[in-house]
Amino acid sequence: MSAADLDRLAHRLGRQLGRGGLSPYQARRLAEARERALNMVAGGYWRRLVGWSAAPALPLALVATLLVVVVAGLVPGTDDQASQEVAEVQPFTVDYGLLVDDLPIDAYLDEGFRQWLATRADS
Amino acid sequence: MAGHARRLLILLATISSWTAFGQSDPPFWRDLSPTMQGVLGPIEGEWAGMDAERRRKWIAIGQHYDTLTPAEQQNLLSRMRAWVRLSPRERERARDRYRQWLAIPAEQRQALRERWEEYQNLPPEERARIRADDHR
Repeated sequence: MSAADLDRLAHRLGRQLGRGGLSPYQARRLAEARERALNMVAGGYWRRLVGWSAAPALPLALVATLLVVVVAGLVPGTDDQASQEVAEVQPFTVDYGLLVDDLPIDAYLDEGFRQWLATRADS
Repeated sequence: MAGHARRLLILLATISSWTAFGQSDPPFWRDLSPTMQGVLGPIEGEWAGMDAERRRKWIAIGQHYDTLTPAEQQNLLSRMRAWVRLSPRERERARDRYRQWLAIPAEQRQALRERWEEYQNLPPEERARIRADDHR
């Protein structure tokens, strides 16, 4: 892969990343991919593995990073991951209670109803 | 060599900054399963404007959907449509009143439901008069 190819690939990836819209799960996978790529470069993993010099190892690590990033970014998260995140959310009893209560929401908002109830209780 | 290293650093910096941005992002509508999207359909239009906490609250509510009877499910969907039409002030007022009325014993809450239906059957002008009296 030439330097120009790498530039084009980096630009395409940058545009894709710039669109945003990742879930925390996808973001975590990207962070892991980044960590792996840094380890590859710092530890010379590929160089030791195939006996290459540092020069070709860098683009190879870059391509590996891109592949991991693209796969991690394209595989959507599931409700299971969302469930784990939701488990940490504070109780929502009031909103949920309002949504499933015997009384409609209008009953809670109608000041006339509250006044009418008070009048009946007094009589 | 230096060119490759520079490009790699730029790419990693791009990924790093974007990942940090992504970690603070809430669940996106497209990340939800088709089932969850169906349940939360009434609030889809509001989703883009919600912060992470609100989105997760709605997902938590959606996860309870399967535990409800069909009638309760229909009721929930109807209430969700009504809820998203309320202003933040109205929502807070409904929450406050709900908290107050939670203290009412169960048998009296049933009576409250009957009273609401009775109140709804009052002539509109009578209800308007009651509301006007309340504002004096």
